[in-house]
Amino acid sequence: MNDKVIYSISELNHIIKTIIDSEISIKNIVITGELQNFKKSQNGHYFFRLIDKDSQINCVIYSYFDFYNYEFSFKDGDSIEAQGSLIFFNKRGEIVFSINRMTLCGDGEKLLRKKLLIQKLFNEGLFDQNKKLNIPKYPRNIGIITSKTGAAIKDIEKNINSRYKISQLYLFPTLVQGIEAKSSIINAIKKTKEYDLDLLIIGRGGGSKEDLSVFDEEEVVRTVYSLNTPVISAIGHEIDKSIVDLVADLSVSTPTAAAISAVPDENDLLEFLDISYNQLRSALNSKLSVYKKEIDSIESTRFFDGINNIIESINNKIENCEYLLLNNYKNTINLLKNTIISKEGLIESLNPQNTLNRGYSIITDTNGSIIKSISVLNSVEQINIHVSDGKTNFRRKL
Amino acid sequence: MTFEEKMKRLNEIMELINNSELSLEETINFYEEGKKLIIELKSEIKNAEQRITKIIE
Repeated sequence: MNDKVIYSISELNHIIKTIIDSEISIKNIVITGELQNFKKSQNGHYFFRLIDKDSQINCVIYSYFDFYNYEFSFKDGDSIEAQGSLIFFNKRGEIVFSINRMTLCGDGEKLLRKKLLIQKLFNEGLFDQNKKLNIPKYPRNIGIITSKTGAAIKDIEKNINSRYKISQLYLFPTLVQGIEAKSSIINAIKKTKEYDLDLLIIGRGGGSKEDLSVFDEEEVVRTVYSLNTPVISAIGHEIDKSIVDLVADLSVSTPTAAAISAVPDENDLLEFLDISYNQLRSALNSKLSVYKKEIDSIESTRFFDGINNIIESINNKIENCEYLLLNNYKNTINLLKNTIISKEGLIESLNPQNTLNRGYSIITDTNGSIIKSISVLNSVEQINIHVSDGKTNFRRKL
Repeated sequence: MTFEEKMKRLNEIMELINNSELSLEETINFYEEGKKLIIELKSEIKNAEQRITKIIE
C-alpha cells in the first residue's frame, strides 16, 4: 500500500490538462456532428453540444471569435463542421472542444453564405420596397435575359405575343449554369443598358436548384440592382428564392407568370376602351340633361321674372338719359350758336363779292377756275369775267 | 404620344369628365378628346402585328 501514489483531484486534473494540452494530435482538428442546445451565454460565449448517433462532446465558441453572427446562422439540428482544439477545465474536470471556426456541412455552407449575403445586402438597403421601380403598364420594348435554348424564352415569347402584340421583344441570351454563367449573365445585363427598354425580364432556363446558384452571386445581384430599367425576375422556386428575385422590382415564380405580369391582355384593353367610351357618352348625356333641366326651370319661372326686371331697369335708365340728354343738348346748341355768330363775321369778310363790290373783277375759265397769270390766259379759248353785278363770256378772236 | 401616354391621358379624362363642376363646353371637349384617344388606341391594338424577337448577342 505504501507504494501507492495518491493524487488529489487537483493533481489529477492538472495531469490530464498537461496531457491534453501537449497532445498535438488533438490540436486544431476538424470534427463533424449535429448541433444541440445551441445558445449564447450572458458573457457572449456560445455553449452547446455536438453529437452523433453514439456520442457527444461539449463545445464552446468564445465571443472573441467573431467570424460569423452565430445566432443568426445556426440552429439546433444543423450538421456542423467545426475546427478547434480540446481543452480541459480543471475546476469542472470537463473536456470541452473549443471552436475557432464553424460552418454548415455540404449545401448547408452554401445556404449559410447565401443567408449572410442576404443579411448584408438587406442592411445596405438593396431590398427596400421604396427603391423598387414601378412596372410599366404598357411596355413597348421588353428585354429578356435567359438561355437562348431553354423553355423560358419560349414561354415568355408565346405569352407576350398572344397577349400584347404591340411589344417588341429583345433577347439577350446568357448561360445560366456552369463556370462561365456568372460573367455571361453580367455581360448580358450590362448590354441591356445600350437599349431603350421599358422593362427587363430575367428568367432561368428551368433545371435543378444547382442551376440557380449564379443568381445568388453578389456581383450578379449588384449588377441587377444598378439597372434603371424595371426588372421582373422569374428565377427562384416558391420556397427558395434567389437573391436576384429579392432585388428585382417584381418577382414571380415562372416565366409564364413573368409574361402575364409584364403586359396587359389586348382583349381586356379593348373591353376597357369600349366601357370607357360608354362612360364618356353617359357623362356627356348627363351633363346635357343637367343643362336642359336648368333651361326648363329658367323658362318657367326665373327667366321671365328676370326679363321684366331688366326691362324695368332699362326703362328707368332711358328716362334718366333723356333728362341728361335734353339739358346737355340745350347747352350744346347755345354754344354752337355763339360760335356760328362769331364765325359769320369772319366768313363775311372773306366773301369775294365784297371785293367785286369795291370795283375789282375776277377772270375765270369756263370751268370756273380763277385765272391768275398771263400764260394761263393765253392758253384758253374762252373766259368769263365776273364783276359786281354779274359775269360775261368772251371768246378769243381768231 | 406613346400608347402608354394615351392610356394615361384617357384615364385622366375618365376621372375628370365626371366632375359635376365642369362647364358644358369643357365636358364636350373632354368627350371629344377621349373619343379620339379611344379610336386611336383601338386602332393601334387591332393593327399591331406580331413581331419577331430581336436577338442581341
